[in-house]
Amino acid sequence: MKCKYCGGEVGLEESVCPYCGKPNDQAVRHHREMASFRRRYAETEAAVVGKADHYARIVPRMLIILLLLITAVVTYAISENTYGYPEALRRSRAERNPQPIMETLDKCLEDRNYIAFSSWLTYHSIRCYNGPFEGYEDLQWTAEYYKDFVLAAECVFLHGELDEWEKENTGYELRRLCQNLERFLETEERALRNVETEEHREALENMSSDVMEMMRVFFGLDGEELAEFLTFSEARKTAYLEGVMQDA
Amino acid sequence: MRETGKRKPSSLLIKVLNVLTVLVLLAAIFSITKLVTELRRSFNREPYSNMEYNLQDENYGDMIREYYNRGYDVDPFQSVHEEEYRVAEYADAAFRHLFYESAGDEEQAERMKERMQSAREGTGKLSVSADDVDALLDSITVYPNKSAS
Repeated sequence: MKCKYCGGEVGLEESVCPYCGKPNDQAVRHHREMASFRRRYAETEAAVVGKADHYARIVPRMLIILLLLITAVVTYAISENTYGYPEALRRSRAERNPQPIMETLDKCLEDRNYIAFSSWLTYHSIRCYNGPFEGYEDLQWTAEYYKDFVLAAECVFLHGELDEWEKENTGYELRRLCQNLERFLETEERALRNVETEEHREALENMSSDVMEMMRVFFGLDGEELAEFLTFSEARKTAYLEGVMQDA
Repeated sequence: MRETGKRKPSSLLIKVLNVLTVLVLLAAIFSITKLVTELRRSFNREPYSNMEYNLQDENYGDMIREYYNRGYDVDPFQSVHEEEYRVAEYADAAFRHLFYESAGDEEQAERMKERMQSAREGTGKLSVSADDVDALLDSITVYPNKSAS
């Protein structure tokens, strides 16, 4: 650029003209503007760096907190529901390798050990609605109530001397026996309608025969007496059996 | 001025975050410890056995119930209370032997007798309980088969 006084060549950084010595106004303004730009640049840089530093200190902490929080919540939730894990594990193993379980179940049926049959299914948490054990669906619930009925009968008869509290509650096991008898008869009737194989039909008939015989052998209920007993309400059934046991 | 003004709240926030991190870390440690404990307890579910209590109470019915609830003969914890479980098995077989014998089902009665013998061998020092079961069964009134007679 040129000096406005002498027309000599003068640079933007030169505050006076090297030819005439007069002040270079543009250079002065330039210096002022540059100083202002530098100040604003420094301020902006400080703000940006400060903000970046701020986030760099906060964001990782927040991520760590979030991660730990998720870990704490998830592990706590899992730990509250561990009770069923062994059963789930057994079920998973049984479904992955059903053959040995099915062999045992068939052996139980062959031996007419329906309590063991039901216990095996329960222990391995097997539900026969679908999957490899679907073939046992028609027997599962009948066997379950058969087991409950027989176990209730064993509880009624197989105990030592009762204390006062137990004497007052003797009706409990008899009531359970009656409840399981009703449930057994309902499920057995349903199962007989849906049974798929002769072997399973025979198993159902054997269970039914055992239950009826048990009522005869231990409570003297047979034929018409048993048919009439089965029409009683649950409470009346319990009271009736209590009476039979007291007479005995 | 602006920088120092910004740093103060952020350092306070960071202190709060640090405290929170420690708290959440403690919570995570607690949860993980709880999970490990619960898993161990779940897979070693032995302490809930009532076998000994029921044996003392001569409550053989509930012993049989636990015997079957523990998978009949597969649960590894049966070995912890081996003799109690054999007493339960004996009681179950003896009750059902009495039933099948009274019902005239000789095949099943024979099967139960075999189970009784095998279970009695495992009762060890609790064989006296097997004798108690026999005495209990002797005291039960069974009704004769009218059609058979």
